[in-house]
Amino acid sequence: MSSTTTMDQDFPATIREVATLEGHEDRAWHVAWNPTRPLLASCSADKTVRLYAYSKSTDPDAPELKFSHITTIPTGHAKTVRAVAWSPSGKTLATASFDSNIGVWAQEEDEEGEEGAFNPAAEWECMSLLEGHETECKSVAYSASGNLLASCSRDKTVWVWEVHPDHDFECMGVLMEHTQDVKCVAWHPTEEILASASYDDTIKLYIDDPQEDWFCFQTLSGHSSTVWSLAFSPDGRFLASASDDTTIRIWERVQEHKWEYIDVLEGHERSVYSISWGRGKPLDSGDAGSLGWLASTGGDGIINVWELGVGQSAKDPRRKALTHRIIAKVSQAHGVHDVNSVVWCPRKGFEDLFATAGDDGAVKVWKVAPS
Amino acid sequence: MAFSGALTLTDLNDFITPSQACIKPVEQTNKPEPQDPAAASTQIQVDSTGSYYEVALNGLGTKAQAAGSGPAKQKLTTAEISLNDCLACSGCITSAESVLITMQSHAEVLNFLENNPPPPSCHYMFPVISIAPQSLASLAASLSSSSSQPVSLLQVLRRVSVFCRDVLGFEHVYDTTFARHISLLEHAKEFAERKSGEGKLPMLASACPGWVCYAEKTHAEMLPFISRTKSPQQVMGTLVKEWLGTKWNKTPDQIYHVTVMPCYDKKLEASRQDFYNEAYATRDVDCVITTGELQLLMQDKGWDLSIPVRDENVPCLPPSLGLAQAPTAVAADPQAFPELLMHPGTSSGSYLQSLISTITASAPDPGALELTTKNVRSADYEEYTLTHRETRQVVFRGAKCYGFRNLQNVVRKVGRDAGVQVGRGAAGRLAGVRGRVVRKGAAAVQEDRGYDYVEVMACPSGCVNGGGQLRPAQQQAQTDAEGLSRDWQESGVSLGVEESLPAAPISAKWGDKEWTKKVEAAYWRTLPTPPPTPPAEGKPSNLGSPFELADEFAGRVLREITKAAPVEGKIEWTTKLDDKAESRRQRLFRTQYRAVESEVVGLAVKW
Repeated sequence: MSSTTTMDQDFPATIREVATLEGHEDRAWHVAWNPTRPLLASCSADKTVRLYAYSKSTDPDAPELKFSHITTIPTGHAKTVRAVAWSPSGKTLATASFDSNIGVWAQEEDEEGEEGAFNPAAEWECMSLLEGHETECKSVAYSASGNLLASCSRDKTVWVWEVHPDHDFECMGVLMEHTQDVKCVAWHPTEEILASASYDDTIKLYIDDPQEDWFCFQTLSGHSSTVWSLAFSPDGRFLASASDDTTIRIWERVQEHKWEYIDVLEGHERSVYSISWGRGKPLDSGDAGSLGWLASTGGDGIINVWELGVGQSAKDPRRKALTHRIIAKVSQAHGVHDVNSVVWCPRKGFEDLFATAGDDGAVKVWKVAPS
Repeated sequence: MAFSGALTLTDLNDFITPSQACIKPVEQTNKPEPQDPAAASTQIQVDSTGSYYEVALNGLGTKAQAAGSGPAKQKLTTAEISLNDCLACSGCITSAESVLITMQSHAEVLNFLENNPPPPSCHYMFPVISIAPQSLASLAASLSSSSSQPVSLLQVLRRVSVFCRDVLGFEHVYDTTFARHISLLEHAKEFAERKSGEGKLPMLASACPGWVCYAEKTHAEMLPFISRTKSPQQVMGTLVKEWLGTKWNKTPDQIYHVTVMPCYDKKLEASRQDFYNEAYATRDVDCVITTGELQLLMQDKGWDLSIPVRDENVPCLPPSLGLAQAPTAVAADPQAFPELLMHPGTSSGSYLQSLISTITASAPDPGALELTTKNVRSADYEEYTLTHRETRQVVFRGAKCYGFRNLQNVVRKVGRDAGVQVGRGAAGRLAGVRGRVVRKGAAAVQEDRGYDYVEVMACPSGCVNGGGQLRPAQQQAQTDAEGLSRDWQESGVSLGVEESLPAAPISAKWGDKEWTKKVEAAYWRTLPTPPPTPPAEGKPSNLGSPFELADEFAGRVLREITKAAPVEGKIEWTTKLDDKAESRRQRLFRTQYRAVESEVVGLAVKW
């Protein structure tokens, strides 16, 4: 455990470091948990993607989870790999690079496409390369169904691709709505609604018009600086956005195609670079944590874990309102370095586990537990 | 920098946008004044006209002040980015960028016409204007939307002609459809050459400069596939400066040729070095203005296009063919091209349809061919397959593909089918991308047979929806909650039920599509008669009499312009000429493309 990491007390829960995964030769940008298998991927300015496997330890004295490096994908990207995303099947990995390309990685399936033969250490091949962005790609995301892939870039565009068999892709839309660098794309957890966040301080929401093309149906304004990261709530009713203005805003879906600002979370001293919204493991009975846990991190090196729920409005007791409280906090999570991303593990049974990537090149895995 | 007023794009969202990486260095052309040691600091002032001046602050001992004319001011040159700068830089993937356009504008045309010395002068430049049919359609749709009776393309052409001739002083006014006819003939000839092994297939259309520019900058691997036949605009340039010029006894530099186009990128096309005549230091097309800029010209001069002109419904057949029936409004012109040849197919030039017609007509058994079409997701991406009825053999497979998104997919598909690497070359570094064997059933092979031809256009809906076209007429528009202008009634919404509306932008966007449909309809409204019916399946379609006449006229142009030696029988476009004439044909009707190397510096981008 890093000696500089500081645990903050007086919270109902603590954040315990489970593993520090070193190996990247430059800053680590992003991490992605495989949704179906015990695998964690990380990417870095060193142009590689590192894969780690994890398993419950059999040694009673050792930590309960053991992480081990499985393989490193050299990628071949000419510049930094800024983001990684697993497809919902867990078989395909997408990389977004500053070389303006999106790589799609998978392992060669044997004749029957048998799953039993899965060996994550075997070679990961670049099955497809999605070109079209003019400049640095910043983020990539698969839709819940895995049928669509979205990417965004400093070229101010958001692209939507349809995933076809044999790792073939068809461009479904090039969305030129933002006036600046697009930092992040995120899909709704169940529907084909896409959100993007930008240096132009706004969030755009898009849907497909079956007769026509993808289009922006709403722009969410409110942040006073760059919006760095987006996360839908697991139930899909809320969207969280993290900004350079040090705040996190929560937006509620009030109609099918209408989202409204409802609350702001303040708990950071600098830019909030990354947020992740997981199901969490409620600390006490009742529905206080019914909306799950939101983890946030950024330039101040702090990780906050917020418990979100629906409760009574303080102003009008007859109305429901969003409730939120910080349940756990870590300062200097990566020492003096910025923390670039935070991601909850999506797998059942691991809802209290998240990973971070920092400018120190390290990837860390953390567990939230009651104090 | 004064931009033309028409230079505002509609809210189309599928255009290629300017890049952040425009790194054209601003060159200082002011000669440095000998440094005055006494003049310490200066400051920059801007006057009401937007001119910049450098002003000495302490004002000691400067010459101007000594002369008693107030503080010393030096006017500074405004940095300008010319079309050629933009063509040479890979920073922008361009479409309709305002910075590019100062050199070719309606103000430039007016300026030229005002400063053109009258005819007796040896410096008189012979002004000629050629108008694209899509521009006429845009004007016709705009006129029709505010009149009880639809206005035909012929009427618009006649009215614009009178304006250009009587008000502006142009000597001749043409539409570009005959040039397109030649372009189509040469295009079919080029396709046949490629089919027989001289060059790569699929052949991709070259008439859209937005697409050509994009390919040169980002998909150099597509260049060998792009047809080398000149676009109608550039063929028109050749016809005007080389063929008509000779008839008029004018050298190319004595003619000022303006075109009216639906597209800003046509300005870029006209300024390509390939279309510059070194010997005479002149371009085939001197100035390109958009439909919107033509409308501005008419506004400036107070010309009302809704007022009919004499004989505006009388078509004009080329007198050169002995079928003269010129209406009095049209000056008798022995060189008049066949006008308004509306090639059936698409409103973007009918490249695919005319190729299909040619292939069908030249097949040993035209009746046995069956044309099937398949809509790929939207009307902007359609596949056309010619199949032999009995053998089920696919004779030809083509597609029309409009809009930036579909263009991406075609580039990917063509790259995959032809086995070339797509993109800027990064793919080569990623192992395995191309080495993979894709398992496919035999049935899929025929289905997946690569294209022979693709009609590529960068704009969604094609040229009728070009960036230089007129905006939809705003009638009883109302503003919705988000400030978007919309017409509730037209959207099928009764006022007062706004809450139940679906996402507002659907209707807002739909309005644009509706307008494009109106322009499309206007395009086919050539004469005050019903639009031509689409060609019957598998039947040669362009052999109607206007096209036969055009073919004949084209043969004459070819013979004269290439100075071909006499051949047995009539010269047709496909007639093999003597070597010298063939090489002249090549020079006059074909062009070339070159990849623009990316010079974008990887500036340290932190995030």
